[in-house]
Amino acid sequence: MKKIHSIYLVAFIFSVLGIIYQLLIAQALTVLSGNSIVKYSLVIGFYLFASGIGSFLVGKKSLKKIPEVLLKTELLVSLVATISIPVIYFFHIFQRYLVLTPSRQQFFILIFWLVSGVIIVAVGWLKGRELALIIGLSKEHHFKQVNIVLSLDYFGCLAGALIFYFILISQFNLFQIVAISAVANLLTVFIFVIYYFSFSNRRFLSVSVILFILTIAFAVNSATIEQYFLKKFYFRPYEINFSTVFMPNKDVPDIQIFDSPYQQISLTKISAVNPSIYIDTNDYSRDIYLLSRYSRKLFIQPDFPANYLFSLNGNIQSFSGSEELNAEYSVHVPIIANGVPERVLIIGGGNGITAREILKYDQVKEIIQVEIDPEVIRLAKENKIFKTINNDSLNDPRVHVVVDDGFAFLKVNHSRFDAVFIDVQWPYDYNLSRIFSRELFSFVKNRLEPAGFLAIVAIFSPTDTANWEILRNTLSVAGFQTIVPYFTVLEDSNAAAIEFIKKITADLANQGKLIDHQKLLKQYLLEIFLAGHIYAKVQPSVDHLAYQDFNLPLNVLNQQRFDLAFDYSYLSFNPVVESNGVKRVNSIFQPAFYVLFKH
Amino acid sequence: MIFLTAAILSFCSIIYELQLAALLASFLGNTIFRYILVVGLYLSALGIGAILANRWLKTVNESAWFLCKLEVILSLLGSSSILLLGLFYLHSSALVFLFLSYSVVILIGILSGFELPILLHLKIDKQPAILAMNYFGAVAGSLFFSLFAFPQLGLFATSFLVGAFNGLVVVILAWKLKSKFLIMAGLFIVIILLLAIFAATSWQDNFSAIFSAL
Repeated sequence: MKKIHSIYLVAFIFSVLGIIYQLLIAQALTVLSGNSIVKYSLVIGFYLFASGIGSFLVGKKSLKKIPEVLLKTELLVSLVATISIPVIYFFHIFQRYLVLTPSRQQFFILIFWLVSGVIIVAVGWLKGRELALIIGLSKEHHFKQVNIVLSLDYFGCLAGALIFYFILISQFNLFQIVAISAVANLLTVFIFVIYYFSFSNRRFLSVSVILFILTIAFAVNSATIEQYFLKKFYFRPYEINFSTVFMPNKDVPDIQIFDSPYQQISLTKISAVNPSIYIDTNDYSRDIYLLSRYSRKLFIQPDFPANYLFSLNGNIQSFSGSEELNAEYSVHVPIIANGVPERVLIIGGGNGITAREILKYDQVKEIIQVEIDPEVIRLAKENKIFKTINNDSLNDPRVHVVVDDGFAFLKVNHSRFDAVFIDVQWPYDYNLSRIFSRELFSFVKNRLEPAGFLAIVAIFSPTDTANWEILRNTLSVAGFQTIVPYFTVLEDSNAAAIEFIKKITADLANQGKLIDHQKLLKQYLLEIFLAGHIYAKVQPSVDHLAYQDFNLPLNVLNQQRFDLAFDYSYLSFNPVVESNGVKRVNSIFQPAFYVLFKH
Repeated sequence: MIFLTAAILSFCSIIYELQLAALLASFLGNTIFRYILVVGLYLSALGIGAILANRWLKTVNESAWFLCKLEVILSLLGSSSILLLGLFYLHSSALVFLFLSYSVVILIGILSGFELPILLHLKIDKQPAILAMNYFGAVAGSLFFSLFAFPQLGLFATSFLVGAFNGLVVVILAWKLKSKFLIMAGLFIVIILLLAIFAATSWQDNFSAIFSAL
């Protein structure tokens, strides 16, 4: 191979690796802080800026001894890239510690973003330097070659982006990808420099051999490293103490991760018996004991896998110990209130829980389930735990699974449905926001039978009046004339539940404290289980149907709770408030539901 | 003035691409893939544009005139790209839509690729600073779009506003070239697009309403 050809090849490889580093950091920030569009835009913007600056600040001295400087630069690139993801994760743990500590000033949270910014700028800076050096090399041959190097650099970006998306992210975790890229980086520069420039500086060589071994070690142990950070992400000690912030969570079972290019899917087993483990400051074991006073599930199915958390990108989708509560309210309340549908469309809901509930009605003839992530569908159909939880619903002959985006599916599919369930988590970024847009709601309205209904499974809080107003405006603009919010309201007069409260407050009572058990129970119920749901109809209708017993195997819902679900006075929620001024509507052209940065 | 031009141009071109990525993600789903693909195609197209610029353009004067005319086209294409893509989506089949929309992405990329080599050519002694401003514009654009413009202004108003910025560059360049016609053309574009921003909300609304017939 001619020297100039090897320069081309190296320029191309470096550019592929450069974009992979950027996308890796963007993906890590998305998993940790949400809103992929914001994170990708910021990372790409700052990286390009830094690489621009980096390429200018290459001094004339450096250009005189390119092989040496290039080797140095690449050693640094590999080092910084390898540690980039772990450092970002470490500072995220630190950030959560700061957030949880009330005495800390809020601006300390910026440390996480400062560190992430420094890493992005460092990688960009070094990559910019590297490009300038490669251009310097090609100039030695002929000035025209510079253009070819530059264009290869640009094409490398496209190639790297596609490799990242189609091969790397769907096969490996972020730590593995970073290690693979760093190894490739070191090998490339090594072969290039040694082979073509017979450059042999002992010190550099030994440093690079050490770095090479470290990177390989990192790659080999990436599964362990990932588990450490995942456990830190999902579990944290209830006692906030700086000395334990970075200690590994040893008593926690491994978290199962399923790689998908769409999202990080995880299944976490929590030990319900160890009260020292808490998730997001919620005590799941207490909740499940309290809920078992209202739900028959664990009495009828004692073997039900009740301690699994299903999460997407770190956002908890459902907890198997209490999922029946929201599942029954979000499916059966709208069906009882509006009549049993025959043809049903579910958008999202790939875990099969919504389908499981709908299948309980014999009158339902067909369910079309549209889910974008084939990996979630595969799990729901094949994974033992998922299949037990969803009662194997997606393999039922009445269910037809379509792997497609909900928006794209609705645009081309013009068949009619009696009911449409939107089972996507409450939108917190631009991407989810579009599923709750007036455009998608308009599609749904046009696919509904005249008496059909739309049910939104995503839950909202009755205190979140701002988002409730936007959602109501959006549904109303799309042509829905009846928009009904309702809530999972469990009665605070339940004798068994009061017994439970008495039991857990026995210590306090013994100390002579006066405890209003019913008030405490109501407070718990509102804090832990309360969720708002919405159903909407095109027809204007004053009232919903009365409770009807279909003789279904329900675990929670009954007539009393059905009636309570519409009793807004219980929650001091006022659904008829008219917004004053401009009516904010959520549209694909202008998202209204989003969080830019979450902790 | 040339520094300002360099910053505005990269600010505009990155926002054109980001807003197209946002709309494509909305229409077709799979957000991260759309952004990765649009950014990848954009960078490649920038490369093609840069090569073409080096091949075609010889003298400084020629380059300046070319850039000025190019910006007229870019401001018109960029400011109408959201509307164009929306119309393609409503009136064409899935494959045709893919072809047309990614063609717009690549076209804007290639045209933007001409900018930097020409600017560098215009002031050879100030090359580092021009490049720095160009990169700075790209950061500012990505911040402005993702944190503010998309959720607060909406895609329609954003595309008009950015088109108007782009028109401002036409005026600046035409001023240097002392071309009355191009000054007038540039001012005309700026004024029309600024006026269009006031109507953007209701246009966006009407456009959304068309979806309820699909």
